[in-house]
Amino acid sequence: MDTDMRSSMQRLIQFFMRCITITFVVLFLVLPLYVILSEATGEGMSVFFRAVTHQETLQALTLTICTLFIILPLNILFGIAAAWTLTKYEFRGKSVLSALIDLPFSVPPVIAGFILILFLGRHGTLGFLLEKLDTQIIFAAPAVIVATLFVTFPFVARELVPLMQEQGVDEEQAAVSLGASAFQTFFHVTLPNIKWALFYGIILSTARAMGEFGAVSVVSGHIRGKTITLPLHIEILYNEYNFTAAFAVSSLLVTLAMSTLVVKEIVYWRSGKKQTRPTGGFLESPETPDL
Amino acid sequence: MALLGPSGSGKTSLLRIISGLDRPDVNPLAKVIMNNEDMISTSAGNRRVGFVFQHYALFRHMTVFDNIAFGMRMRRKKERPSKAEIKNKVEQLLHLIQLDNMGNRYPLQLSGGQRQRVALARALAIEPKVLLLDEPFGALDARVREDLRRWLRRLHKEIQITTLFVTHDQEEALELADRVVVMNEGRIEQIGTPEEVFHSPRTEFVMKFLGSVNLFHGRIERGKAVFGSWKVSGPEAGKEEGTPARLFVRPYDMTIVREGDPAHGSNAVIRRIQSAGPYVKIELEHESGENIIAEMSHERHESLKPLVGEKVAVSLKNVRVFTEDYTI
Repeated sequence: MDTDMRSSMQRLIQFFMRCITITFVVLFLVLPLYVILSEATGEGMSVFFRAVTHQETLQALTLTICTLFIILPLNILFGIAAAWTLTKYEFRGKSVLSALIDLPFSVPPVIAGFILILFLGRHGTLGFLLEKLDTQIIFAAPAVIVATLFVTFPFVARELVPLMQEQGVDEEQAAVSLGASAFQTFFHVTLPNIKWALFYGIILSTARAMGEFGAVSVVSGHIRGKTITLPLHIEILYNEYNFTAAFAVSSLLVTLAMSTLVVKEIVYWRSGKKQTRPTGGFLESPETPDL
Repeated sequence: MALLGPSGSGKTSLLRIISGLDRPDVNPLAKVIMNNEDMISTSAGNRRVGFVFQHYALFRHMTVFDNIAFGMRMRRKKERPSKAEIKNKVEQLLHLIQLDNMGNRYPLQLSGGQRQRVALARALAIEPKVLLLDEPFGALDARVREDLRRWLRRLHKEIQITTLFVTHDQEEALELADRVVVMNEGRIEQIGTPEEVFHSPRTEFVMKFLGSVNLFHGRIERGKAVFGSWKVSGPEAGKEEGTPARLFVRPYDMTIVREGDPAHGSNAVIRRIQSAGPYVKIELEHESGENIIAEMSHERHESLKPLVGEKVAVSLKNVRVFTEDYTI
C-alpha cells in the first residue's frame, strides 16, 4: 500500500519533470524557430530567396565562413597545446594560466572588442607598428577574425583539459617505452583518445564563432559589403525595418548552426555504433575496469 | 629478480630510471648499465626495455592485436617488419599469453588478468633486452594473482629474458624471483637469493619485512646478549657492556612447553589460540609485558593441549640479534 503510493508519487514527479522540460523546449526553442521560418517565408519564397542571395548577404556569409575556416585550425592548435601544457606538465603558475585561459568566457564580448580597439587600433598600443606596415586591422576584415578568435579560443582547451587530466600520461609513456617518437605518440595514442572531446570543442567554437555579435560588432566598423558578418547583417536589416529579409538571413544562420548540431549527432551516432562492440560476452568475469 | 620493499621505498622510481622514463637527479656518477653498456643518456625509446605498467596502460582505442603490434609498427621504415611478419609475431604472442582468439577485442572487454597478459605481450613484441614489470599483480584479486604468478614463472623459463619486477608482496618476491633486492627509503638493504634474504637477513628491516617476527629488547651483559631469562652468545661479545640489543625470532621458531619442563625458557601467559589455518597460532603475553606470537603444528597442539590463560615456558631457536650498528 505504502510502496504503491510511493511509486505512483514517483511517477507523478517524473511526469511533471517531463512536462516542464518539454514546455521549456517548445516555448524557447521550437516556437522561435517556427516564427523565424514563417516570417522569413511570409511574403513568398521569391522574397526569401532574393534576400538570401542578395550581394550583401553573400558577402556576410563569405566573411563568416572564411572567419570560421581561419579560426578553427588556430583554435585546434591552441586548444591542444594549452590542454597538453596544463595536464601533462607541472610548472609554476599553472593555476594562473588555467584561469587566464578562461578569461574570454568571463569578459563580456563588447569589452573584448574595445580591448582590441585599444590594442590594435590606429591610436592603440600597436598602432604605430601597423601604420609603418601600412596595414589596418581594426574596422577591417582581420579585426573580425581576431575578435572571433578571442572569444572562441577557450572552447577546445576547456573540453580537452578534464579528459586529458583523467587519462593521465600512462599510455603516452607506454608508447614511448615501446619505441614510438613524440610525433607517433601524439598521432597514434594521444589524438585518438581525445578525438571526441576535440570534436565537441570544435563544434562549440564553430557555433560560437558563427553567432558572435558583441566583439565583432565593435571592431568591424559596420562597413557594408566589406566587414559585415551574418549576425551584423541581420541587425542592419532589422534596423532598416526590412523584417522579411532579416528573418530570411536569420533562417540561413540558424540553418548553419543546426547543421553543425546535425553533423555532431551523426558523428556521435556512427562512433557509438562502432563502439558498442561487446560481441559474444566475456570469457572471464569482467572486473571493474580500472582503465 | 624482484625489487621488494614497502610503498614509498623507491622501487618504482628505480624501475623507471632503468627504463629511461624518469631520470635520476643530477649526479654525474649515475649509470644504468645493460650488457656492459651505459644507457643513461639513451632515450627510453631506444633502450629496448619492455615496460609493463602497474595499470597496464593499454591503448584503449586499439584492439588487443593493434596493442601488441604497436611497438613493431612504430619502428623506422627500414627496420619495420612486413605486415605478414607482424601478423605472425602477434599471433605467436597471443598464443603465448593464451588469448589466441581475442585479437580483435578491446582492452575494456578483457578481465584484469587478461589485460595484464596483453600488456606483457605488448612489451615482449619489441624483443626487449630487459623486461621490467611494475607491480605486475597489484591490481588483481588474490586468485587471479596466484594463477598469473605461476604462469609468469613458466613463461619466464620459456622466453629467458632478464626480468625485473617491483612488488611489495614478500611472498610474491620469494616465490617468483631468483634474486631479491630488498629496498627501504630509497636504499638497497640486501641483495640475495630468496633463501638468503629470508634465512639470513642482513638488517633489521629485512628481518621485519620478510614474514612476521617477534621482537624483544635487551642489552649486552658480560659478553652475552641478555633478554630476560634468555641469554644469547655470539660474536657480539666484544660489544661494550650495556649496548642495547634487539632479538628477533620467527613465530615458528618458538617452542611452547609446560611449566616445569626441564627445557624451559622464559615464562609467558597464553592469551589467544587460533587453530584455523595450516598451523595453530598462539598469542602470548611474555613476562616482560611484550606481546608475542608463536606458531605450532596441529599435531603438537593436539598433544600439548594448551589452554587460554595458562602459564607456559617458551624457548627459542634460530634467533637473530641486532645491536645498534651491526649484526651477528
